[in-house]
Amino acid sequence: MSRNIVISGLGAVCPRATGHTALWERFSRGGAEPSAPAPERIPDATFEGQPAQLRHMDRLGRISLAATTLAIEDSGLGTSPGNPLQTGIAFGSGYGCLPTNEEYLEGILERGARYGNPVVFQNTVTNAATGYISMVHDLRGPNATLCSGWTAGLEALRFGVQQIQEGQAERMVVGSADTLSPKLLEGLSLQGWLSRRGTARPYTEESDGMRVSEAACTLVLEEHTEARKRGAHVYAELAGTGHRGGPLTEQARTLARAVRDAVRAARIEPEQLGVVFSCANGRRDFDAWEYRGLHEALGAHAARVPVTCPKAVFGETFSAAGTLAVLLGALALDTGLVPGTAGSPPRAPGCQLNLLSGAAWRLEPEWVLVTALGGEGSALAVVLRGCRP
Amino acid sequence: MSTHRVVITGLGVTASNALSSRELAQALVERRSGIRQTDRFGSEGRARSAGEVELPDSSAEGVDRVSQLALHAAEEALRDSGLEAQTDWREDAGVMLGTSRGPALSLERFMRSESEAARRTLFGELPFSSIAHNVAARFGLGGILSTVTMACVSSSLAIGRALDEIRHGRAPVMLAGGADALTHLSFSGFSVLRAMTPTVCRPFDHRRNGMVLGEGAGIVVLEELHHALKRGARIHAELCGWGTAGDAHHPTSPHPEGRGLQQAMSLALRQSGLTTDQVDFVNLHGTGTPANDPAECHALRRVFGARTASLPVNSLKPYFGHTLGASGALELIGSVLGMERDFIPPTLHCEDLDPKCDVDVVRGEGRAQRIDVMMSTKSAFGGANVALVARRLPEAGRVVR
Repeated sequence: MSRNIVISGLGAVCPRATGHTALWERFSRGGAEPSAPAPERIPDATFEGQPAQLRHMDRLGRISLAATTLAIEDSGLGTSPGNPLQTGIAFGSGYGCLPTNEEYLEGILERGARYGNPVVFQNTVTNAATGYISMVHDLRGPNATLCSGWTAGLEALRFGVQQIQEGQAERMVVGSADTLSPKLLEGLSLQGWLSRRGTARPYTEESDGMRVSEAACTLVLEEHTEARKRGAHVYAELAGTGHRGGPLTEQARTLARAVRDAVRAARIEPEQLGVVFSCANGRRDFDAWEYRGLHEALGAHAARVPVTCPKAVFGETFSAAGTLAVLLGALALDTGLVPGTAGSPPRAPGCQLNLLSGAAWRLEPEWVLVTALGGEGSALAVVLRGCRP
Repeated sequence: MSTHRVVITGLGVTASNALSSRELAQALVERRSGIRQTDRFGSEGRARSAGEVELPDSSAEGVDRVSQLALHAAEEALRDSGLEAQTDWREDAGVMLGTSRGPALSLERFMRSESEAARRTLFGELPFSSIAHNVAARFGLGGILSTVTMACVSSSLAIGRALDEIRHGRAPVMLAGGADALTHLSFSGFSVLRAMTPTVCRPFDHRRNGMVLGEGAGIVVLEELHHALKRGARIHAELCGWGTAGDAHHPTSPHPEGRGLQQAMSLALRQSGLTTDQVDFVNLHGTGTPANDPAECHALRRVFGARTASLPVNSLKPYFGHTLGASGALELIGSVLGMERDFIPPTLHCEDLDPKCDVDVVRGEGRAQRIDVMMSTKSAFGGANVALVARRLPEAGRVVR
């Protein structure tokens, strides 16, 4: 990548953590997660204080705006980040406005088409959230909303990097969010993807499915020199990305190709990776794809490199998971600490991964790999580099 | 940063007035619309007509209608490009598709169905990403796989992003465009917003009172210039730039002065390395709604200044309706077909120009005119705007008449 693009603002909203400090504290605590009824939803109190004129936003818009406001505050840019024409937004969502479409359809299936709720209807486009955020923060640069399944968060990040590198914007606000709905949960359950225990224990004997949760996560991206010039705290550099698609039967290979592309773009050897933030979620088929993909892409280093699985703590947050993992990876590079995977049940037989468990480890990584696998054909990988002075 | 030139080598069309690009070209010359009376969505709403597609028997059963529309267009685009018959290009070829409503029909069926087995199957179609996945899977493509959901600019943004991927050497070939099906959701929603006309769609006319919905898909094959030349491909046009920008103004209304659209057009021209003087024609969004058309004309004047008076523009919405996420791709294709034939299709039903839209709207029989450079612009809910710039590539390819 010719221009050095860095992360200079972090914002996240999860059911039991608001803001990156609370999130990091929760993730780095390690050990067993306190039990909570699954699935987890973000408390409504999180949205208090949002602008009154935006009361018509749906839940996706509200959590996305909350995370974005936190990221912009953290970046030190104030309420309106710089030249509005040079500041863009890219947001991703796995299921997008599906829950809102469900709400609108319920109304018209019950009462008739003429009784559709126009307030709900205006949110039945997935980019409604992006539109609201751009209004609140006056973001008039490149504007994109992606709905590429569970990888949409990393795809939004990749788009943001490209826009800055290609000179279309000076700064990009990138993020992703997903909300839960009754039909979505029913569908996930029908597929047999949800954990009966209500836990997520990737790569272990206890692994029996996903624990799902809502989440939103936003990052502020800008060129390194610009961030330093204005005295911003720089968490990490985005050194390389990879994006691939392929048949469902070849998800492992698709991920491997995305990882190889990201490592190549970062101009490093796989052996230089200091830690992997894995997208494993506790679904055995899904985790097996990632396991094979990592081994195919990293070779012998796949068994050596420390691997941590954020979804064991936060659950499967769909598109938000990739962005959350980048946020955590950036904090790992910034602090030198790498949190372990929650819980420490016995590893699955034959699993050749250096799984970190328990509380945070001081590993001082220089390079971090983040993976996202869609389960519907796409895979993305991001390589981060430390920027500590 | 080294960049590559990108060309359009395949066109694929699914629309209510045409099931191929050849049919679309003919329909535009003959001023043939696919808008018909419909009772598919009951009689409760304001609108009585729509652009419904009659798909031929499809082997795409088992996927949502929106994927069926996309697969039909993708198949033609690949056949037209000549790639279908060749090998060794699929591994790195990507798919970038846009949609507004996505698989809303499957969601409706999912919600109505009482069969657990049916719901289990339908759930696989519910993610918006199923459309791009279905296309990639059908043709065995292993490159970048992406779905854009930006309401009415979805497919324009998908095409712009695909252009970037090839321009910067990250992919040699991309299938890009979009699809949307007619749904109860759209019909009811735009009706309660009073955005649909009870009569006909008349873009830029002072009597305009709303849009007509349509369904369809438009997909183009984009290819790196030398990749196309090496295999002797027919080149329809060069896609030379794009821009995207937000209005940051209102969730459903455009900025009255077309603020974001103006920025998108300026960015597209800058990326193309072209000046406003070089643009011969602009295909506008032209929805026929009271707010959209004047805002677009305002943006046009801000970008093109004095040139605006002699710059022909049109809207293709009256031919196949507002196809939402597919409109950007379908209308780009319609404009490229016109460029190949030295013909600007007229804006149907625009008879008495609104003074607020006082620009050179092509009407009547259409206009015979050589077009070397054209722009296609689209705007959407959420204040999203995209502009695409394409030009004739005289040194390569042949023009089909």
